[in-house]
Amino acid sequence: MVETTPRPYATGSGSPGAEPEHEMSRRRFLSRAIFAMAGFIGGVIGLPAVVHTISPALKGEQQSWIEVGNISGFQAGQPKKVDYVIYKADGWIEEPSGKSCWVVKKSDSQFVVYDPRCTHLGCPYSWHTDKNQFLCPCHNGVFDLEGNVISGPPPRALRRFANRVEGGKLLVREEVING
Amino acid sequence: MVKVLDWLDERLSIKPFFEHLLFRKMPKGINWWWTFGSATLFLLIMQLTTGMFLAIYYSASPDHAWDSIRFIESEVTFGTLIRGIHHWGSSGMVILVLAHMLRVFFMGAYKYPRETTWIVGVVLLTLVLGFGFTGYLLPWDEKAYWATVVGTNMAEQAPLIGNFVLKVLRGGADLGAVTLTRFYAFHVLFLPAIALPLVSVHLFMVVKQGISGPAKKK
Ligand code: HEM
Ligand code: FES
Repeated sequence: MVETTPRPYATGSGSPGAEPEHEMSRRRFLSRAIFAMAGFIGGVIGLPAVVHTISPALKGEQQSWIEVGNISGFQAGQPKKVDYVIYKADGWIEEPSGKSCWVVKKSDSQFVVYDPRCTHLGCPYSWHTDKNQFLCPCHNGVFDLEGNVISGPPPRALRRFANRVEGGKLLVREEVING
Repeated sequence: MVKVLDWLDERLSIKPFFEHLLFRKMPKGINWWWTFGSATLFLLIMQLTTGMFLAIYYSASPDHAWDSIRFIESEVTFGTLIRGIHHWGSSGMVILVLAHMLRVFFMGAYKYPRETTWIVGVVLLTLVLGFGFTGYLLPWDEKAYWATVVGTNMAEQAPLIGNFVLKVLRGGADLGAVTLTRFYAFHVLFLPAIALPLVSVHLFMVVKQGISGPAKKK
C-alpha cells in the first residue's frame, strides 16, 4: 500500500495546509473535547467503581465490648479459656459466631486476655498446668504465662485483647493492644 | 451453505480475510510442539462454554454455593459431565499454557519481532492462574475455603500493602460471603472481560507476523 497524502487524523493537527500547529483548529478542538469528555466519563464512573470494590478494605472494623464472665470465676495466675458468642456481620449475613479467649487473672482489677490463636499460623493453643506453659499442638510452639515465646516457630508473643472490669464483670474487646 | 457464503461475500468481501486467516503459510519443519497454543485456545473455549452452563445452576452465596454444586452433581442431567469438563479443563489450561510457554521459551520464539506476543502471553498466564484461584473457592467446601484462606494469607506477606491487598481480596478481614461474591464476579465477569480481548490481540499478532519456524542448523 502506497500512501501519498499524510493522514490528517494521525497527527490531530488539522487537514493538510490548515493552520499551523499551535492554533486551535476546529478539528483539534473537537478531538480534545472528545478526549476530555471520555476522560471525564471514565473518571466519574471509574473512580467510584474502584472505591466500590475496595471499600471493605478501607473500613475499620468496629469491635464492641463483650462480657465474658464474673471476675470471681477466675483464679489468679491460673489461665482459663472462655467461650462466647458474638453476632458478626458477614456482608449482608449476620450470624452468631463462636469465639474464645484465654484469660489470666492478675488481681481483681487486673487481667490479661490473649487471642486464642497462635502467632505462628493461627492454631488454637492451650494451657498445660503440669508444665505451666501454653503449648501449641501444630508445630510445638511454647509460650509462658506472660505470652512470651519460649520455643518453637511462633515469631512473636501472644496477642493481647483489650479488657476492663466493670461491676464485677470482665469485659473483652477483640482489639489487639500489644502491636 | 456455499450460497449463503457467496451471498455474504458479495456484500462484505470477507473471503480474502478468512482465506488469509485459515490458509496461512507455515514455516517448514514445525511439528506437534507448535500446537500447544491452539490446544490452550481450545480448552479456553471449552471452559467458557461449560462455565456458562454451570452458571445456570450455581449460586454464589455461602448458604447455597455448596448445595447448588451438589445439585448440579446429583440432580441435573449431565451436570456431572459439564462440571467435570470444567473442573479438569481448568487444570488442563494451566498445564497447556505452561507447556506452550516453555516451547516458546526454549525455541526462542519470543525474540524479535515477537516480544509483544510474549508480553501479552505473560499477562494471559497470570489470568489463567487467576481463573484457577478464583474458581477454586466457588464450591465453598472445606478445601476451597482453607485453600483461599492460605492463598489470600500469602498476599498479606507483601511488605506495606500486604494487609490492604488481603482485605481487598477478601472484601474484609475475614473470608466470607463478600469474598465469595467477589471471587465469582472476578471468575465469570472480570477475568473473561480482560482475557478475551487479550487472547484476540495475542492471536492477531501471531497471524499478522506469522509463526516462527524451527531454528536453523548452522
Ligand atoms: C490463554 C492463553 C494462551 C492462548 C490461548 C495462546 C494461544 C496461542 C496460539 C494459538 C499461538 C500459535 C502458536 C503455537 O500454538 O505455538 C500462540 C503463539 C505464541 N504465544 Fe501464546 N497463548 C496463550 C498464552 C501464552 C503465554 C502464557 C505465553 C508466554 C508468556 C505466550 C507466548 C506466545 C508467543 C511468543 C507466541 C508466538 C510463537 C511463535 O510465533 O512461534 N502465549 N499463542
Ligand atoms: S501454629 Fe502454633 S506453632 Fe505453628
